[in-house]
Amino acid sequence: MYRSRVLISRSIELIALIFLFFWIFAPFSGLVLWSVAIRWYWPSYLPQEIGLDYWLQALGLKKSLAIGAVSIIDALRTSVFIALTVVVLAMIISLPAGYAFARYDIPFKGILLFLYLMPQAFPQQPVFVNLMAIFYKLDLVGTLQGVVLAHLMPSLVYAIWITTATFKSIPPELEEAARVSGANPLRTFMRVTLPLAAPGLLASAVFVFLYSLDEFTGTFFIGLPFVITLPMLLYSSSGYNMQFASATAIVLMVPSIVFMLIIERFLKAEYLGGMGA
Amino acid sequence: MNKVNVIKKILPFTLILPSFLVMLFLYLYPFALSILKSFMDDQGRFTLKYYEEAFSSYKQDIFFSFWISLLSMFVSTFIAIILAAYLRLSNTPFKPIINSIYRFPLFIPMVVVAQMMRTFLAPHGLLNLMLLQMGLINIDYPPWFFDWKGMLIGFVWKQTPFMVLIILGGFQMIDDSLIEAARCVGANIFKMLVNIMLPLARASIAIAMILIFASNISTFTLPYMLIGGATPTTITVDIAHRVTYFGDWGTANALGVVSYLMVGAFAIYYLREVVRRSVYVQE
Repeated sequence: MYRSRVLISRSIELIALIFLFFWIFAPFSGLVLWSVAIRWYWPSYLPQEIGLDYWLQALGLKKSLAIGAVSIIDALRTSVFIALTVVVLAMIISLPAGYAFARYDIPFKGILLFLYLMPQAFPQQPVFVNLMAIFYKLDLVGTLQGVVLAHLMPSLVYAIWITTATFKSIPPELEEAARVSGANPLRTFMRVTLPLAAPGLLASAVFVFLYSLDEFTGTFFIGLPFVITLPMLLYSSSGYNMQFASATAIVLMVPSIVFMLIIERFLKAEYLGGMGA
Repeated sequence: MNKVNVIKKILPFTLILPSFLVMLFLYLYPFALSILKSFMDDQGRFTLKYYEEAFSSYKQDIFFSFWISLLSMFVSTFIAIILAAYLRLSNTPFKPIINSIYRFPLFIPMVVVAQMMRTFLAPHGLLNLMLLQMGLINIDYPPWFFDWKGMLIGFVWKQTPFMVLIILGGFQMIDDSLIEAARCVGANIFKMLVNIMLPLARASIAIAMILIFASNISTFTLPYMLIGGATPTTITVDIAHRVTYFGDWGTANALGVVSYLMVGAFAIYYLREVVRRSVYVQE
């Protein structure tokens, strides 16, 4: 009796596992298949002809003749340049802010936190639309600077929250001990606090990097048609050429998966919802 | 001594100031502008014409945005609760496998999810191919998924793992002894879930639901790439069309304010809850 019940529940689990596997990886497999499909006519299960032709063209290793050809390398270069700039700016700004939020009693702290979290809870698209109107007057629409600023705003929300949590996790007693033994505040920060905070700060930087890499809405309104990041490239090729769009999607997906697997344990669950809005 | 005190008072403000200025100019200012401009005509006078336009042209889309976001959120919540409860209670050899694969969509950017669904759900896509092989559909009339069905699948695919993480966090705060005690008096899994786990984790569940509902309402990529201009579409697509095709910020802003109102009460509840916790509770 007991054994048969275990058997039944194990079978249910196995079926659920198979279904989960299908649910998660079937959409993904379509992407992979399309990126290597040279000819794929309905209703055949697999492509009639497979090859890396489109990959080679998209990566610029082969002269491209196909309609809707894309250059992943150019877009990747633009994306990485923007993302690195956003990381540097976000870290310069969020490091002192996170430290202050973690260590000091700040008047209006509640209101400030409320403001800093608003972009996470309210729709961002209307804000980008109006930022576009403001940036028109400042000649920032369609420029790299404009896109960097557009990415900086939502990234800052996460950067400040992760750095605040990081500094909070370091016991103030360690800093006090350094002070007592004669180190000045700046030296204490550089020699004691910063090394201890390094893993959390690195996680914050990687998060911001990925956020910027995946950002769509802000770039759509501020950057197009001149700033072509990977998500923009994916969007513009998606209606015309399945192979190029699929290859771009895979290139875009790889860094997110790799880095998030590494930094996931440093992050609170709440932050992960912010990925790739 | 006095000088030191002044520095101590000013220092925190100085440290926060750069981030505050960025948020002020890049967020709060355009946010306020989006509300103000929705009530202002070209001459700067008060008007409601943009709202009239928004409700007369886009009533169907406003309604669609709301119910598809709500439906997707409820389906995600339902699956997430079952999965989280399983991960909390089970000890079978399957658990580590499930635990490592369910979170995969978490790391996939929405724009990639949209592209994935475009290929997977296309009339001649992989899903219809499978349904065809199983003999479930007619080869000449494959079902059309680029409407609410595709949105539902896309949202649930992308958002459920995040909800599992948050809800599982709530379940993990429940003491093992409480669960053991319930098991001893013979409560089955369903009873345990309804009577013990759900009530104790309700704050986590509420937060997960609010964040996902707000995120669904404001998602632009998925409906833009899946449905585009077809009817009904979401208001995020309408806002983009209004601005890029017509240069009409007024109606776009009115639609934006409508989207604020849809998440409004929930978003404010969430923000107050998080702020309350981080200000008054020592972590």
